[in-house]
Amino acid sequence: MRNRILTVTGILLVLGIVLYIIGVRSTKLHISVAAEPVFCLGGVRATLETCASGFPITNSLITTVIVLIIFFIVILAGTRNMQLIPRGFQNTLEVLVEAFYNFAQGVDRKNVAKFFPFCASAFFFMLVSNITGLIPGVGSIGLCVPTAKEAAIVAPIADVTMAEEPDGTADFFASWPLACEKGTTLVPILRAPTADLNMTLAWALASVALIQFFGFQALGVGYLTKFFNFREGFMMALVGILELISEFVRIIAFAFRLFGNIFAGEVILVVMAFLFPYLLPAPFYAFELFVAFIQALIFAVLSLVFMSLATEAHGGHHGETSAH
Amino acid sequence: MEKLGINWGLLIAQLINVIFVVWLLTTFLYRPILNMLNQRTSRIQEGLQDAEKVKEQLANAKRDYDAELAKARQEAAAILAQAQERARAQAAEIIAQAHRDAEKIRSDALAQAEQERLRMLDELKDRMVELVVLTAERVLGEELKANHDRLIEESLAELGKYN
Repeated sequence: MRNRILTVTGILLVLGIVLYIIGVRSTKLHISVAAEPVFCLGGVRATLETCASGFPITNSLITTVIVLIIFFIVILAGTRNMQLIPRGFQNTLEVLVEAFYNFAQGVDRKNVAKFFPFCASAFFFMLVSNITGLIPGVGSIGLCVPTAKEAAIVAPIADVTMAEEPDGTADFFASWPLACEKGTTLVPILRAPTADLNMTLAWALASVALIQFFGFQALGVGYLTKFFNFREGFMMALVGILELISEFVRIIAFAFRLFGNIFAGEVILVVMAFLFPYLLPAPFYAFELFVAFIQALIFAVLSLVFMSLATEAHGGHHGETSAH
Repeated sequence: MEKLGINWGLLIAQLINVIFVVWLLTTFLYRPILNMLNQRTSRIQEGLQDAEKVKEQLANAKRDYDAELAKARQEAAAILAQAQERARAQAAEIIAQAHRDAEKIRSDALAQAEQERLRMLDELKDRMVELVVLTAERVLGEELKANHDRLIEESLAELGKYN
């Protein structure tokens, strides 16, 4: 078994090195922080990342819709005519939902029914979204859009393009059918939804909004005393203000943690493929699968914990700290 | 913000997507599945309770059966003992009756024999009287005749014949 693994790896490595030396590799590297519009609904494109007018249908928006369709089909297949004695696919879905439900119960037994729908949705949606970014073809199949040179120069952080070889030797695949011509850049049709700040920010906003909602629902107006607490001295007032700031920071933290991790993962894979496309990205690929799961879980669990904390009365927390 | 790709239109679109995802999963995935899980839990609980009940009933039935069996066995033993007792009594009775009958038969036979004997004796006596009379008549009638010895012998022989 081990011998076989070593043999296959060795053969692939030799093959990869040979292919690399004869130049069978892409020398184009294009990384965009923003999700690029595939087309602009009722408008025209300005740069790679922006539309001059109209609504940008970005690649991550398209993938979001695809993920939604996948969810729809999965749910339909799994929960249509549910049986008391589970069978096949229904079993799988039940295991997933039940596992997360039990986990959520472990975090907050009292309010699990309130918190569970959002947090579980976040987990499942992000898990699928993160993994879509790893599917071959996502990010590598797309349209060729004329590169606006000046945009790349003005915004080097947002758009890294290394399309030009130093002395004009063309890319190996330039002559292949459907390859992008010189002066144009590939805009992928699909992109992981969570590698787009709009998506993660939307989830973060929804999460923080729900945290505040549950807080008010559980404690009424008393929830505000967590932030505006002027009765227990200057220190507590300051802590309250800091708490208030941290609520807003949570939006940014939620959004950028997920976006950063998934986007960075994609960048790592692209860069690895650019440096040495054979075998080298494989371990990173496995790692990104792990990250996809962990980041989805982190978002869901943090939402759960913050919701649980928000519903806890200030007095109880205070009593705990004063006991020290 | 634009360099990071934040676009208000997209953001709002994705917010709507978020709400849609939560709604979709809640309505069509979590609710039915959690309902189903609860239903299954209650069903299993019910089943276990039923099993417990049935077990109890079974134990009860077994106890009843055992009690019944013991009672029946006792009764059977009692009946048997009674029957044996009765049979023994009956046997004793029969034997006693037989003894009595035998005794009676014997005594009857004895009485009859005695009676017979008495009757025979009576008869013999009568005959003897008759014979003696006859003999005496003959002897006396033939006194004068010579052969009275012969006559006596004859009557004696006759007597022997009757006896």
